Amino acid sequence: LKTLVLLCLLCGVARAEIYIVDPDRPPPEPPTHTRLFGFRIGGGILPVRDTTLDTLSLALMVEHRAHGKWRIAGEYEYAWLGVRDDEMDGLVDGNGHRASLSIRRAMLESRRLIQGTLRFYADLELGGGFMLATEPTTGTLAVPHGFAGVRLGYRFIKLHRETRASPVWEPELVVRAIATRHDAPLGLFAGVGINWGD
Amino acid sequence: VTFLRTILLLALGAATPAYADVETSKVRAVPTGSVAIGVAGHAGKLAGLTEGAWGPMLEVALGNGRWQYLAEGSYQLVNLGASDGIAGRKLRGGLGVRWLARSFELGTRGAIDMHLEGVAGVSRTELDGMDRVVRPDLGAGVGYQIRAFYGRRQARQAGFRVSARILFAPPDRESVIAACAGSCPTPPVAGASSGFMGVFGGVF
Repeated sequence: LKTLVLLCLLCGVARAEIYIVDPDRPPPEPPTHTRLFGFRIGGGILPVRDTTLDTLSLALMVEHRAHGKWRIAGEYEYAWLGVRDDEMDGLVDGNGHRASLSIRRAMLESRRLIQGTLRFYADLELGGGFMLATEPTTGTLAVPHGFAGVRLGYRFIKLHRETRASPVWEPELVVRAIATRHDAPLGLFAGVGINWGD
Repeated sequence: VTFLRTILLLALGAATPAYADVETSKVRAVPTGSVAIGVAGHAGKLAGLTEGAWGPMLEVALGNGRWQYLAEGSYQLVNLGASDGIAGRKLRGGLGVRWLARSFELGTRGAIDMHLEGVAGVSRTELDGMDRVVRPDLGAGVGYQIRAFYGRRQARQAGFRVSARILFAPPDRESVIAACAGSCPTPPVAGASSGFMGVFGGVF
């Protein structure tokens, strides 16, 4: 029984991560791009049914590393829609839900700066999704979309070595061109997001 | 009996660290009691008319681990309709819960957290020269906060928080028509309000 108890206790530390700490070297960039979770707020214009809608949205995002510098991302957005008039009125006339899937690849990355804790990046992304919404001018909308965009941001990497909190923090600027129909002009979206790594 | 003890010990030994990994070790606990002072802004619809409001807000919260249970109140200046529409004032109170979803530690004395929150509230809007409109609301939001840990054993916390919320309120056409008493700039139309609410301020 004593042996079993000892085995149990050893099981308890089996999942602990082992770091060989050299105080003169920056901490290893953790395998964090494995998963990110965050949110984004943004806005833009979206041409649908011969009308251009203004949009404002709040999104939750999750990302996983697929392979190397490739990531796969999913997001859900709650969007406010409207046709804005001279009084800046009408932006919250309608509302809807937008879900998207995308792939993303790091195109440019800086060296790790400030003792290895900071890295700037520029990523390209390509994706698509679907929006279901209602707006007084256009009525009910069920609109598929595709998009291509860039993400510009920086990544803080584990400022506190012993922490077991998120090892990575990424604020970023997102700019996208959005296509809803082949014969419609492109829409535009810009937003600011923050991601936490796991 | 020995076999049962062994199984029990195995279960406890395997389960305890796994639980600690997932739930308790990744976010520094929120304070057991806190106060937030800030500004709340709201854009939405009141019976088909665009409503904009902003003003000071106060929040008191009880904390436990990653969770906070909060009560909030705000006083807001309201504009209904276009920019030269109907002016008014709004009192709003609410109860809610907040969960720290993620945290990134800024060394040993600070952290940037992501939170998710839900609130339920009620507001009383008084438009100039008209009757009051009382509406319940329900909100869900997300945001971030920057916390600093200080004091003995870094047990005290202060910081800055930003939240963005989706705020739903039921359509209230009849009460606003009655309140307008024919003086609304455009006839209000029916429609549920799905508004945006932003809250930011200091946390102590």
